[in-house]
Amino acid sequence: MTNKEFLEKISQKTRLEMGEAKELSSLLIGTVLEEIADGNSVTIQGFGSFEPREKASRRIYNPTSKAYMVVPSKTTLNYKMSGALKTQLNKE
Amino acid sequence: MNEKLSFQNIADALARKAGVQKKVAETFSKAFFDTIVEAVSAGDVVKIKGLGTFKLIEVGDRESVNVSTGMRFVIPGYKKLSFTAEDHVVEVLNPQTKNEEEVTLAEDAHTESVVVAESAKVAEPVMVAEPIKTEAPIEMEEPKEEEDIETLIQVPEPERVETPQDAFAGIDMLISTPESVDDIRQQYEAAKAKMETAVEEARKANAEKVRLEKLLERLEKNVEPEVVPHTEKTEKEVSVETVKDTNPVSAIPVTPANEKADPSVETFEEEKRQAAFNRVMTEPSHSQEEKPQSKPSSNKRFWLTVLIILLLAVLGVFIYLIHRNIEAVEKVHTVEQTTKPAKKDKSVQPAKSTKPVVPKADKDSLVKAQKADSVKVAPEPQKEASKPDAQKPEVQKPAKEERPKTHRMQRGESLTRVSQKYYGTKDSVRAILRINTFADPNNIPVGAVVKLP
Repeated sequence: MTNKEFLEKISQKTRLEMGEAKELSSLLIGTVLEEIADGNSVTIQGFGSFEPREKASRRIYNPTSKAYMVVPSKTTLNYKMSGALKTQLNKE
Repeated sequence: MNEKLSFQNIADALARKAGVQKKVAETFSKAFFDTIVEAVSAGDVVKIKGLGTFKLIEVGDRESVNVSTGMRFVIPGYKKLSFTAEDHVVEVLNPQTKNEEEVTLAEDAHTESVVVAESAKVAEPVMVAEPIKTEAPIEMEEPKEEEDIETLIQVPEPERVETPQDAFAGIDMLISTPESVDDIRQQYEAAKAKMETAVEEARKANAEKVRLEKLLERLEKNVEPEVVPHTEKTEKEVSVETVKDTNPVSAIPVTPANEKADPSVETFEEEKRQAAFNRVMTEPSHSQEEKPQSKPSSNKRFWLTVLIILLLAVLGVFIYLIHRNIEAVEKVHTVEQTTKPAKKDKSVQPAKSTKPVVPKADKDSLVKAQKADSVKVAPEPQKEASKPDAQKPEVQKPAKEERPKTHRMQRGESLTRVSQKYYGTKDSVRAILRINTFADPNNIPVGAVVKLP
């Protein structure tokens, strides 16, 4: 499902126009990402939780240039589905 | 920091940002996540711009062990909603290292010092020594590789040309101290530019060389078989003549440079062959088959015809020999087959069986280059007949030897090895264990006799 199809479905459900849905969608994502960037975790009941994960810096070896390089530490977005969703998806 | 936000918090924040009612924000947010779940449970992959991809993943059954009881049990498989964040998200979450790849050298140096300060696990001397080690080879490598390329242009090899490029690509990512970064970068840029031109030149030269070699190979292969059908055709002679017209000396150096023209190479090759022939064979001419049309071409035509005749003669002899061999072999087989019934029939019908055997036995003796008495008819088939009889017990004997009833254990031998030895597989160990009684199958005394199933 592409972004467009996704937004169409939402607009049908909420009786919002596509433009509005698009705007709200990007705002929602922006809000979630802001909180994640602040180090907070966001839990959506019945869906799952988004939380920042620290990836430690590590040294890697490039075999072509025979050089050691440092991959700096970074934060990634981790998602874990909720228990309710798990039971819902594995109903059958 | 480290707050746990709920759906409500997010909906409120969204309402504030978008300037819409809380209710609208709530319903929208709810619809947002519900739609994801719906689409995913329908087996779809949901790509949301600015966030990432949601998709359903099947987790297979796996076995685990109950720690307290030590019992094995199976954790059943299940479906899992997996999420992969977009690159954009990672960029947003890591604003300080956004442009990292562009500034790898400086950035790496910076992060490295940070690492030294932060990580207690990594030994400090190693990290400090790292830039020194890597920095030295950079400056050393560059001239070396340039020299390599210069030599490579003369004798180009594609693999070697490409490797230095890779090495240079890696230098971009090398760790070094900030002071020397600019110097190295400049050197690197200059070297890279030089190298690129050199590599291109080398590639061109190499491509041409390869093409030339292929052409020559093809020609060499073609020349010999082509000669035979050219007895009637005069095309080859014509091409040879053209070589005579064009200066052969100029043709030779030209070929390595621009060997695009097939005919020139072909004729050149012809020329070489002809010259070799002229040198080797200095027999007087007695060409009667074909009359020379022009004086320069007559010599070549003569040698060509001689070569063809020779080839044909050799071919004829070859075919004849092969044919005879096959016939002889076939007859040997028939002899062996006929001799068996002959032995039985001999007492009843000696005249019938012996007569056909005589010539065949002769052939057999010829092939094997044995001194066989062709006059004595009767003993010959008897010998032949006795041969298969003698062979049969020989074949049966080793089969019996392969499976003796017992085996005496030797030092360092295990039942597995015994099984492997006699049955070719380790799986027969159980069969051996079944018919034997050991105090300890894993520790059998040396010299113990093991019964074999």
